[in-house]
Amino acid sequence: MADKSINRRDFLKWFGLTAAAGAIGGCVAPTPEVIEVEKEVEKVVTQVVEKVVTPTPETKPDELVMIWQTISNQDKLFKPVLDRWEADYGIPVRWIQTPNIEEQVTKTLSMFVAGEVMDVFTVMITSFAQFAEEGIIIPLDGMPGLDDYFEIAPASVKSLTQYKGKTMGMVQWVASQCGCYNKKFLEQGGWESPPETWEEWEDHCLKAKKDGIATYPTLWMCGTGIDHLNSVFYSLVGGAGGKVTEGDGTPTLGPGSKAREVLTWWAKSFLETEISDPRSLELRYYPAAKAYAQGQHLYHLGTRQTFFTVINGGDSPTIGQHDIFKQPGGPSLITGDSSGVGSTSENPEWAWKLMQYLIGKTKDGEYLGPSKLATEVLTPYPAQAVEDPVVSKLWSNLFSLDVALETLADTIAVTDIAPAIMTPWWPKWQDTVNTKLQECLAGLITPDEACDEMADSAMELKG
Amino acid sequence: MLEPAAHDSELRETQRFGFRRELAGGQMALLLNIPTTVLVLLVLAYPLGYTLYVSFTQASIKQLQTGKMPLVGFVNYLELFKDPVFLLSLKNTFFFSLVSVPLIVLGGLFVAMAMKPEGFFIARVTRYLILLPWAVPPIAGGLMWNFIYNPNYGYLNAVLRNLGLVEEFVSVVGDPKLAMWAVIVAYVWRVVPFATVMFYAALQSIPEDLYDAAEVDGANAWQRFRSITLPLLRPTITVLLLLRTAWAFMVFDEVFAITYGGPGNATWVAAYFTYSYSFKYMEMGMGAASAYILTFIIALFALFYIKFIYTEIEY
Repeated sequence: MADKSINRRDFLKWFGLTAAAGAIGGCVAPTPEVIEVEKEVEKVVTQVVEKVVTPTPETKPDELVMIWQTISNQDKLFKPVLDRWEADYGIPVRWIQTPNIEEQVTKTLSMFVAGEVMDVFTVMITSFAQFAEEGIIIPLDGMPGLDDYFEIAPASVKSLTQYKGKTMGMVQWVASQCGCYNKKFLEQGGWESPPETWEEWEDHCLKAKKDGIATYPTLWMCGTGIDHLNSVFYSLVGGAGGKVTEGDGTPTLGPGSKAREVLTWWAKSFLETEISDPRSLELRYYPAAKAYAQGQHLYHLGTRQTFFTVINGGDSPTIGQHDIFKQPGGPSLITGDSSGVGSTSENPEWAWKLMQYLIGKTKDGEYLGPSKLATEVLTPYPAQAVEDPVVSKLWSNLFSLDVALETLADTIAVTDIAPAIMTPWWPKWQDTVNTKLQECLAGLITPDEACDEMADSAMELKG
Repeated sequence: MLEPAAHDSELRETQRFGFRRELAGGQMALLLNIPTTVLVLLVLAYPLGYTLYVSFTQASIKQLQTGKMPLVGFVNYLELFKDPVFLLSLKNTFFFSLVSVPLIVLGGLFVAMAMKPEGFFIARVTRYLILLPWAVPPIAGGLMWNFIYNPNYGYLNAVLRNLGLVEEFVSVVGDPKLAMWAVIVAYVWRVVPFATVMFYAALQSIPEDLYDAAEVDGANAWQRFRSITLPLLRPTITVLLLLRTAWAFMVFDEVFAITYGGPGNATWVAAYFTYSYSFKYMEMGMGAASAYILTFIIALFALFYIKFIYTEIEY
């Protein structure tokens, strides 16, 4: 009788064939159809919104799912908020935590594709348009009490939540750029106050460098990131009265534009006058603040949040030696991330109620969540937050409250400086912007070349 | 005529009576491998195939969720080869792999040889400590190196200044010429223990008699290493080259933690490109296509190693 034992070669052959069959099985496509994605998304979203706006019997869900970051102690800050929620409504909240906001994009995308329930989660401003376009979040227009929040938020903040005429989220926190200065160095330089114009700033820095007060008087946040180097650039352009794109996404970076002018003097500060620290090019949000906190620089353009947590707080070796000042030249950029209600939520009306507890009012009218965020200088309603004596005292101990409120009153939203931020192609363009800005500030290309290449890229993506 | 061996008649009897007696060797092997095969098919083959399918579609997030994705043929692949950022990512990846893999193999061999002698205290200590870098999660290691490289308060700059090699702190990660080397150092540091362990195990299996005989014949240390150790390590070297090349082509964690692809796009690598297209730009079709191009390149390297470097060893 023939030997029927299987040898290694046969086994490998049959295993490989079976694996290939499995792979081919995965390749078999359904009947190809050209799907009108926009219409389908519109249909799904309309159904969800109708469910929200149309009064329905009060049926409580078994739980709500919240995806939220724990950075800046938010895991501790929101615990009493969630406890209050559960005490008021008896609905537990399953909190899926991510360490920071950036990781939430990957997390929420994966959950959406898997069809998992997502009730409330953070939507980054840079991904906002994509989330809205893809139908991951639903419009909130018509939600009870929505407009009240926009009345107490800084003006122009509403634009951070709009997509194609619909309100797609509620602002979770806002940040405006502000200057930080070293009080000791200011005194050594003989100046009474920080600069109010960029010409003054340049004069201060040149003198500080010449007198040996600081080798590089200014440190920037110019590291590669979603909204690091590019945000600083947009803030400088907006403050100078310029724009980076028009409303339809057309870039405004051509010869004679404010953006090109700003980039030219900014590059000059790195390459010619050397008053800007070249090490800024690798420093992102917190590392830039920590580097400034070493006490080797006169000025830094940051945010009140990093000022509080890093420069004048935490383990800073120079606590108490710094204060904030209004960005020279004009209004500073204000930006922020939003919270959204997921289209996979099974209870959007309850999700909206939960969202209000986190970043709005409780059912008793208390701004519990925002007041907690205000202790980390992250509130979406800063003017309202300082009416709380606890917050007011905390902020006064950290920085000049008047300056902070003045800064917040004179802001320009990133959506006004670069309206293209609300397009789905914005993240792709940001990678080009980051690359070209860094190459320009490192002296590898000229400001004209950088602006031309950024403009070409925007026109190509815009279509 | 020779009588058939006793075990042959037992084998024929087993085949005639099937499961009344023990299964034949091949049958038992097949049975025991079925669970693993099913698992591999589910976890590996199906996702591989589905990704290949997605690479031929124009898939957004919503379309991925519904499963209805318009087929576009090879458009994604053609677009990738026209994309200068993708070509730059491939170039950076090749550079990264061609530099890091030899460093890992040589470094691993060096440390394994140093760990081999039994009598030395430092060799014993090294054996215990060598796995520590490997135990550190890649992202944590990347963040640690980010701290070391910091241009304002990092240890590297402090050491360089104290040694008198620099007057003021330098920017390593912010310099387009140095950033990739910074990533390579962090990656090699983490991965050398893997190579060391493999070489150490292989060195243990080389009979000492061969070295004794060579010594008697008058061979010096280098001759013994070149003529005995290296040839007998060829299978291990091949496996290491194959694995480390594949993993070097897939490097992501250190890039993400240390440079985030910057400065500019000086450290954009293929895996980071795939991540950007899939999760930042939400173009799943292009992300899948770029992943498959990488897979194809790794497969070519694997074939090259097996054909030209691998050899079976018999003592």
